Amino acid sequence: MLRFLLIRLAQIPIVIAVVSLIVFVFLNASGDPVQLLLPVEASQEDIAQMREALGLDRPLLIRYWEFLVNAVRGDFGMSLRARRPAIDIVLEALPATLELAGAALLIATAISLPLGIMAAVRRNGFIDAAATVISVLGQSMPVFWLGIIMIMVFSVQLGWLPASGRGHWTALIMPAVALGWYMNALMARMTRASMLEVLGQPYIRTARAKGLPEHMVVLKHAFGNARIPIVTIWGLQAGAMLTGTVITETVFSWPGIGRASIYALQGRDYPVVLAAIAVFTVMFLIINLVVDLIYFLLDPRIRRS
Amino acid sequence: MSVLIRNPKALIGMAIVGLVVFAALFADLVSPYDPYRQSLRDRHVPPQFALSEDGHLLGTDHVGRDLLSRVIHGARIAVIVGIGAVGVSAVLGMAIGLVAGFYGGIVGSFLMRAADIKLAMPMILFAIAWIAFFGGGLFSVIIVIGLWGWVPYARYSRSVVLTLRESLFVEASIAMGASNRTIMMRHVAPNLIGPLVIIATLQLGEAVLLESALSFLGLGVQAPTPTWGSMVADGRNYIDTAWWTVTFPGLAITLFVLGASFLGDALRDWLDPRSE
Repeated sequence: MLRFLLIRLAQIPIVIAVVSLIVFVFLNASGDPVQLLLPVEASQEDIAQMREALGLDRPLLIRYWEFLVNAVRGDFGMSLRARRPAIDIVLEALPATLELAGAALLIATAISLPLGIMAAVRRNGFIDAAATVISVLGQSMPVFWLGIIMIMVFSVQLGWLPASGRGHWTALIMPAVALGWYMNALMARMTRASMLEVLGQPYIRTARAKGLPEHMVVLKHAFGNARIPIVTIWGLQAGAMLTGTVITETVFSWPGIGRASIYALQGRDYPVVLAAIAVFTVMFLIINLVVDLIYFLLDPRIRRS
Repeated sequence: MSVLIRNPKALIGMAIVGLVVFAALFADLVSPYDPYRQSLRDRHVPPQFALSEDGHLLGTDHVGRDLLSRVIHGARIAVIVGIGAVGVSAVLGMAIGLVAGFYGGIVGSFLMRAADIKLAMPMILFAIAWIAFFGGGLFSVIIVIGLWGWVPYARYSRSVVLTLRESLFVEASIAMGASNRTIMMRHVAPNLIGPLVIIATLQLGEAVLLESALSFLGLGVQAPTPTWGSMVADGRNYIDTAWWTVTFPGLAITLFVLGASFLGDALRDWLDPRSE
């Protein structure tokens, strides 16, 4: 187990290095930030001076190497626009993103698990039909559209919830529902399928035959065995949710990393973009690590091997 | 085939996908108006459900363009990008999976690690960086979404190669002196086509969702070409006065994605009855 954990931990810096290299090359090839930062009438000398001041006149690979060495120490350079350390801008936005993603995860998990379990237990019943509709719609609706429709109904028409911003807890409801909607759909479907498979197993018949109450059979014997694939999907979706925050934060003007990185990309503020991607990647890898640990706790077969 | 026709999910899926493809192919013939024609007098005309000569069934947008015609033309981008992108993913994924399965060892594990790394990258940021570099034309959007989706195809192809490698007929052809390439092309690839088409159908919806998200962010195929995502983005500024401008393009996206996933599910059940 320790060995497994160490291998996983060792992979983190490699993944970050590869991810950042790809984005670093793309970003630097994509255009010159100096032209965006200086007025149109700037002279050649001014441009050269600015490039030198920002360190943009040196070869790409050398800049990448320096970037990596500094990044390990948490230094992603100064934001080209805000003239502050890029990592500060990203870390300031981190709590908002974690709050949003956490709330969305909570909503998705709290709805999808009971829904999926009940749908499987009462197969072809009313709840099963409702779960199917929810999961089909959830996987087909684009997040940004769902968000705008919710704003239209709950903010513009009914005036119940604020349309944007962060502060009061009511402002969190719509973005979290929009972001969690897709994951909820996928998890409900997965939970149902996984439960159906387990419920057909002989040991469930045995559990019933020995006179266990039905809720024990369902929750302990069936769900206990069905939860491994559910955790897999949970982990993958928790990671995918980070991507979802980019769009959700844009729609709801939520001051998180997603919105900050879109702004930074539009302004060609590379250090901020790279810092944001590094933070996203680290978060994703941490989630994966946690999911592996959860496997370990849940599945005795893995624990013993 | 008759199994497919008796399955209501398959029917709905085929009907929706068929309708969208039809709209894409014959957009110019079936749309009531020119999707680009602006009319300042007809800005934000609400949907008129009564059919009349100069009515707008789905209303008009902020510059007076007929929404129905734009939704119909928007199907073009959705279909072209959707099919193009899953095609790129399938070819790339199959190639990677075959190589990883055949050569195993370092090449194989390197390619499969690449899959993990891909999963760790926020898609939208990757796409934005790509589009900032290559521009946001149709081709660029197809490639970036296509590059994104190769992992399921690669995983599947690799698993098939690993199983087939042990099979007797492959062993026999190795004994008869067939090269790796011959085995890949003659024995492995034909076994892959069916399942990969199903994966592609299932992935089509996701590709369409990604295309619409990029268009929504202003990074897809550029205006004035109508795309469903950019129509939602346009309509977003008028949700208090013109609900129809954001509602209908979004419905079109939802329906198409839904149809594609129904069709994919049905095809999968048809080919692999064990799955349900």
